[in-house]
Amino acid sequence: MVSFVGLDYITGSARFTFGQLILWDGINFIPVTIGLFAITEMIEMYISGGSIAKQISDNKQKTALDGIYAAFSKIGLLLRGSIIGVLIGMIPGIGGSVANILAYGHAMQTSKEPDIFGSGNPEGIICPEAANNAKEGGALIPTLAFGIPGSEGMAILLGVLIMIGLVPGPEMLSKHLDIVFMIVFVLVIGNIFATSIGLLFANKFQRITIIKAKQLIPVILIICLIGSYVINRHFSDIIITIFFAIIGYFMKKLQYSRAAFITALVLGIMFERYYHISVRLYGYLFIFIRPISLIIFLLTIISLVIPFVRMKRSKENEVNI
Amino acid sequence: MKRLRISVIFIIMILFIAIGFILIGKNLPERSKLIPNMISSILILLTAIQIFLEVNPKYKEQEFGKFKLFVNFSKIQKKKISYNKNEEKDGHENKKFFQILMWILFLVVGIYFLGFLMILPVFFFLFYYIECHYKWNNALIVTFIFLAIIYLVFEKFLGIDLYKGIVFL
Repeated sequence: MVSFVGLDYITGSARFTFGQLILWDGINFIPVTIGLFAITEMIEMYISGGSIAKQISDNKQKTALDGIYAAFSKIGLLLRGSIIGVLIGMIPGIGGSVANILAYGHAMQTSKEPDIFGSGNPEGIICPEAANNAKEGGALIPTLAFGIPGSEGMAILLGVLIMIGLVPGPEMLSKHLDIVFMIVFVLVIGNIFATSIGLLFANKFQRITIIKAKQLIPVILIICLIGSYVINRHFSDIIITIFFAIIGYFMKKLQYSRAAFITALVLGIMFERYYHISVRLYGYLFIFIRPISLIIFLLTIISLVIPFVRMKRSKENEVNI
Repeated sequence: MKRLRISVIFIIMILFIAIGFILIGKNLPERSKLIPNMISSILILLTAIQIFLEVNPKYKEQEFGKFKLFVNFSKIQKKKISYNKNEEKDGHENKKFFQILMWILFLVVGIYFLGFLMILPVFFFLFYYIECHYKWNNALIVTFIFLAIIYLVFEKFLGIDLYKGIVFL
């Protein structure tokens, strides 16, 4: 609904703008994202109080090199975890926790020492972490190839691509292959860079975690508000950020998916545009007469029905018990 | 009268927004309001179902793997299900929420009238002095450091012209 605010590109009429000229361009997704995620987390931090960590670990017996050695000593597990991450990341909407759980389960099943899982077995960290990091790469595939974001980060990337005039989809892989490879390359370099910084400054960074949350709040809040202001250099973006921060807080509290909201915001206008194009080309029954749209429609129906089937089975099980 | 849960209020709010979108859009051209009306109608239907499930005590939220669904327990169990979900959040959390909201509103109103660079020192000083219980001289030092960093990074280094506020524009 939020994505429909602004000028309608078909008829040229202003929709849901409440007479505000600034809303004619629609609601920019960056202030919404900052509000929904960054400021919401800040509000949570204020409410929960305390600090991120209670105390700094003084364990200096193990060094970073020991950690690197431990990871490479289980290279097979590392690669299998990465493959699991890529495959799960490719499936839109499943999320990182599934990749972690699957990888952990796999590590446990293939381990020679499954009994010591849960008490510090490094295999239980290597495989899920590999999957966790690899899933972002996997999530890039549906994002760039079909315009369907595989994760929260990819939903934001999708929004940025649309903002700069690139529409992800099959055409992206043919017409803008250079940009696709640039994104892949940036992802690799970014990971190497982040790892290097992590290895060099991990001991220093852990001190941030003991700073009281309240002391960080003003700085985070100001940076967030400046960040949302600089996009259009308009004060209204600050109001939009705060509005969605309040919405985001209640969404988080009531366990609504904020990632789904961002995905809908980014894809909403694309959905409308392609709907009108499809209707013009194939008529109102285009979903049923075109094979790909029919398959996607059926998959959507199946994914909606699955929870009810599971519920029915669960009910039957409970009755049997 | 039984107090409405926050979840119910939130859903009612979404319901009103969806109805509002239909009412506001009724004068729009047919093609412009088609999809918004379609989405609004689905939203109204889903929120109506959700409200029914939320207010009806015989339904209880259940997790099925990744999914959360409401199950009518009265049909599968004879004994009465007590709806003991810990929905009532303590007043402390709400009080904290309104406190931070007041701080945010103070900052936003301040930015609107005085601009970033004028309200920032006031906000930083008051926040560290009142919320973090810093001594006034420490709060002043921290304020000065952060103000200097923000001014140098955003105005000088990145060349961003921060909002000046309607008083100074």
